[in-house]
Amino acid sequence: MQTSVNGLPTSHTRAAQVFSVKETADLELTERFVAGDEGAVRDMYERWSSLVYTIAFRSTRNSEDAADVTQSVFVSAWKGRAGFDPNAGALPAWLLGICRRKIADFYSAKVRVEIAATQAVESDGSEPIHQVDTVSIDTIVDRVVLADELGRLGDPQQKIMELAFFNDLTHIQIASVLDLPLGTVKSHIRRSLDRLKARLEATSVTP
Amino acid sequence: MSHLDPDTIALIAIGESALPSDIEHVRGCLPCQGELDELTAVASSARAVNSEDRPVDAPAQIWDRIEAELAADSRTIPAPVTPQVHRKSRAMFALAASVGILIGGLGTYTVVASNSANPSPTLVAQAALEPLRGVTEPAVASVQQIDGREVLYVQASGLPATDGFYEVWLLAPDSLDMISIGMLDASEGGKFPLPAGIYLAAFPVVDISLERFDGDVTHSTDSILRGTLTI
Repeated sequence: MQTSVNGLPTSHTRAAQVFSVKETADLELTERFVAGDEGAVRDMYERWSSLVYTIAFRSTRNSEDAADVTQSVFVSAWKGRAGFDPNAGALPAWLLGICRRKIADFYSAKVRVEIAATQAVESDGSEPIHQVDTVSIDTIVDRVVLADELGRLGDPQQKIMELAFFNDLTHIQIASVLDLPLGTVKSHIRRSLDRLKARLEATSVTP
Repeated sequence: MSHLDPDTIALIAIGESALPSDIEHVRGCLPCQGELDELTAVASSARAVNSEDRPVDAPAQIWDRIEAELAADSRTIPAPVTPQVHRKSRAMFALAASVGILIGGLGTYTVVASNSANPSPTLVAQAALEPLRGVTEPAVASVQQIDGREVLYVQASGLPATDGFYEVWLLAPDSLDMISIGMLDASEGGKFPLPAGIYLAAFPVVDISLERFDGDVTHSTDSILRGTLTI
């Protein structure tokens, strides 16, 4: 009998198809945001506040600072909505762009306070070296986004990818551990990687 | 020559061993190589994910704070979104882009070691305010520390008489966020104690606007003087 395994389509599912339902929801939210519907901010918060907060917390390592950053990200997004161009990138990418900027602002403000504090004792003019490591902000954003998407894969995909990534099992070992057909494991790995890639692309800042 | 099976590319990307013939194909095939490189990058980022990266819910009170801040704002704006609001934002943004960059370098910045035993004012930062519109004389703004508090001084002369009033603002570099500091007396200049906890680095642009008595407390977008405190 020619049928799909576990009800999955036999052809390769492209990331775009996997995302179609979500994209429609994003599109609808984007339109409401652009139109100035205040309820859109609440929905954006529902949808992306855990990402923003976690990125802020990983960056500032302090829950109060992370809360301040999160608050300013959504307030600035709303106040600055005229600056959002849907043709230049997706809404979450724009939001995370604001998040990166607010974290950078946080660091520069912190540096200023530290300079003021140290200058009282340092009179030799030597400047304390502080630098916002933008690479590390980007890395944090990527990791939090990937962790989020991994958590949304659902089983058995999530289990398969965790065994592959964090337990270094081969697809043959995974098939054996989870008692799944080899072909199923292979196509799950392929589709999950596609999904992770699409999610990263959807949240990366347009160059 | 047929391309590699996408499932096989994915397996190679997550680090599984590949057949020599597959490796040979990828080396000579641009599309397959590109696909493999992209998926390998995704897989290596994903491997670096640890439990701390897992998104946690933001504390509930953050939304309340956002709502309160937005509500405070919307009380000042009759309609949630009007073309006027759009125009304001864009105008502010365009001004910041053209003027901010030009003037950014002119602000002078001086820091003197603070001396808590001495209550006399300490200069923290200073900026030359360049005339933008309707004004010919430049002005000076300075931030002084007095008894542990920061005070903004604006010395301006040559401000034209107006049937409105002048307002002092601190703007974020991108002009999206701003704080109203107070009304400026056109003849005497002004002294404005800054709220404790304000980060000048986040709001380094001193802006003087001409406002009308129209009941709208948002920035009129009619900036007449502006300069950046370089911090």
